[in-house]
Amino acid sequence: MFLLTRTPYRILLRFQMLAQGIFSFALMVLLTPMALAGMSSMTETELSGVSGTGLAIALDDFRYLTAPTSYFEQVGQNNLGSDCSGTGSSSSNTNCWRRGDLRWYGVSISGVTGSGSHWNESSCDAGSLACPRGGQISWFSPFDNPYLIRAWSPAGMSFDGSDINSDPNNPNKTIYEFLAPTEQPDYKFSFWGEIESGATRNAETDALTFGQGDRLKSQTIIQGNAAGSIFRLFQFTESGNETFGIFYHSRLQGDFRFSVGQNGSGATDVIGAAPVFDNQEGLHFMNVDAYLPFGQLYYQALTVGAVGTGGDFYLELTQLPETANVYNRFYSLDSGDSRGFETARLEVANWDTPCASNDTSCQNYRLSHGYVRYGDWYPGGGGARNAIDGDSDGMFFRKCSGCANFNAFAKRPIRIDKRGETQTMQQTQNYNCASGGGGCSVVGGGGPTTTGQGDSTRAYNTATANLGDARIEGLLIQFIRMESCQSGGC
Amino acid sequence: MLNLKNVSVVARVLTFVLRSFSRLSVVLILCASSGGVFSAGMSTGKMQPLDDASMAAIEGRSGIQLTLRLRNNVSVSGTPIGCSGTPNPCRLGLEFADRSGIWLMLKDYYGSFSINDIRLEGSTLPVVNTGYQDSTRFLANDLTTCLIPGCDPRGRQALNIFYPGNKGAGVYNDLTFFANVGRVALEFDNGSIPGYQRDAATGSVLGFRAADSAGLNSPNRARIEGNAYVFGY
Repeated sequence: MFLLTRTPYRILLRFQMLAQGIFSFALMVLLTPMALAGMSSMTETELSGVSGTGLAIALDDFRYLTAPTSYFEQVGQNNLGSDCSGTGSSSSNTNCWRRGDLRWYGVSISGVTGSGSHWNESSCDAGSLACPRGGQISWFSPFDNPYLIRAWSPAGMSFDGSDINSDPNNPNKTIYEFLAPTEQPDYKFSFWGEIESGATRNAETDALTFGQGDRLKSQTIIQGNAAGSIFRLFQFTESGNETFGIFYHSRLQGDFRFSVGQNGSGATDVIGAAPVFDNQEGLHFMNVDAYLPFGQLYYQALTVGAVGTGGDFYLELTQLPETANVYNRFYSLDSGDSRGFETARLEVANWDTPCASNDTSCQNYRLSHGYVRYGDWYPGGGGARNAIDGDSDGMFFRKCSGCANFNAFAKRPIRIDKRGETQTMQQTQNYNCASGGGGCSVVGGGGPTTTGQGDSTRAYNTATANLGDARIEGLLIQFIRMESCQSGGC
Repeated sequence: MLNLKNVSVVARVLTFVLRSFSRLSVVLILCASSGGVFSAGMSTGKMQPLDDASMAAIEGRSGIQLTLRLRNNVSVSGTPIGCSGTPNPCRLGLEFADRSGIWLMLKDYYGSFSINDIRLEGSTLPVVNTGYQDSTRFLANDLTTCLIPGCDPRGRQALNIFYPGNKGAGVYNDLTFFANVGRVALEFDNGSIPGYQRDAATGSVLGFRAADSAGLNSPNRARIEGNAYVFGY
């Protein structure tokens, strides 16, 4: 052990890019000892085969578990408005903006096989959404399809519509990118959380147990993978705004469960103490496939800037420019389609057919248009409609183990009265159940109709209420802006 | 372009612990190298010479075990040091390209980071594909030229960074991380006073902490298992 420095100092580091600096730091730490450790030398052939373009990272038998009591926290600011002492409709409640704190505990990446465990280390079935943590992940990042970190010069379009890096042998712009595998095994990403309202502690000087507010504990489990996701850093290309730009194309597929019900024997409301959650309760999204593109090379990026001069800032996905070259690529309409309907119809119909290698319109369309698909059913294709109480596909709510069934009431309007849903022309289809629930034969069958907003007594008594499958296609993100708001400053 | 300015009046302590887990050969060189890495951002420290007994115990060169500890404005126990006054000197400022004179400030900033007993050694990649193979991952800009022979990494040499996976349940001591950012706001250059030395914006949209509920300033703890194979192309 030795000491490098223990003196007061101030440093100025100039990094071309933040993440490049972070990775440089980490990789220098890890790779310098490697280079000097005198391990097996590379042959001439091997040396000539290394281009220096980037690094590949393969991960085998991988698992990352944060301690169930360890957390990442967003600390809110103090209450605004009145004294916040009231409840209900009293002014001291409704005129109050309470401080909110969020904590994420036990953030973990683990397998869907092997030894599973709850937050209190008791065992569970790693393959189930009842189990927050699994065993190790075999080839989480396959060595023949690894995570890649590299400086790169892919082709793209500038904010002004000119081509960038059109000649791969003579590129004029370089970016940094971090690429997930294009295929990888399913794994679990999980955490439990505390939402706290009205805390009074000073997070820097008081322990969590001091000045507690009202809390809700929850658990989030995602079982799937993020293959194909891309993170890039580059200099944005808008003239006069050539700032630090971030690009993130998110791809997620798998199952999702959010729950708040705790298991009786493992339940605890003590702040910072990890509970065991019920095996089945909660909101589920099954067979999800989502692609959300935030940014496009090189005409759209996430950027940061000032809001006024008071200290607030914005995070913005820059607006699509009024430049024909750019928006024509962004919209990627088929030849002869000036309004986009036919292009969209064909893209939805052929969603599962790869673009032809020479069909740049199709390729650009799928790069700029996101989608979110819940469940395995799609128009004109495979997958079955879900049973009303189905618990293996689509979106559904499910009661906790040992709890009584609940009454599900569907308000399905089949004719809408624009004067309001209680007006006489409104017509609603009800469950085909007896009043008060029970006696239902509703799978695939319609119920009686009611004038007005529906008959809530015709409810379906069930353990699970399946909302069905859903698809959002052709999702274009043209502009997003989020502004910070200091306490009392907005 | 991104500028970082870290302003503080208290010490930062960076500590390495290097151990042999199998015939360590180059401790002194490794230490020197590591010091060189960090001296780019920090003042040069003194290294400890190896005595004769230690030198005599060196046998081979299979791998090394590394511990890295970094503290920023906190004591060994995680207590902030000197983080008071106006402006609070414990702060980190970020200035983005084309945002000259505007600093995104992380105020009341302190923390620590530790990687314990991570192991490194030379290795070769498997000779059998995994079933997830995608050779296009190793193509050049022209999407035709392979950056490694045959776009095939099988059998190539790699750095293996790993933790043994035989720890008992409830053991989380491979990585610890403690961070506090009390306030986040922009500060602007004002005449000769750079923005990163000002505290004109007293408000904040939020704060951030990474810690453990065991006690105030207890670090966030994690457990890592598996093998990371790092190779170039």
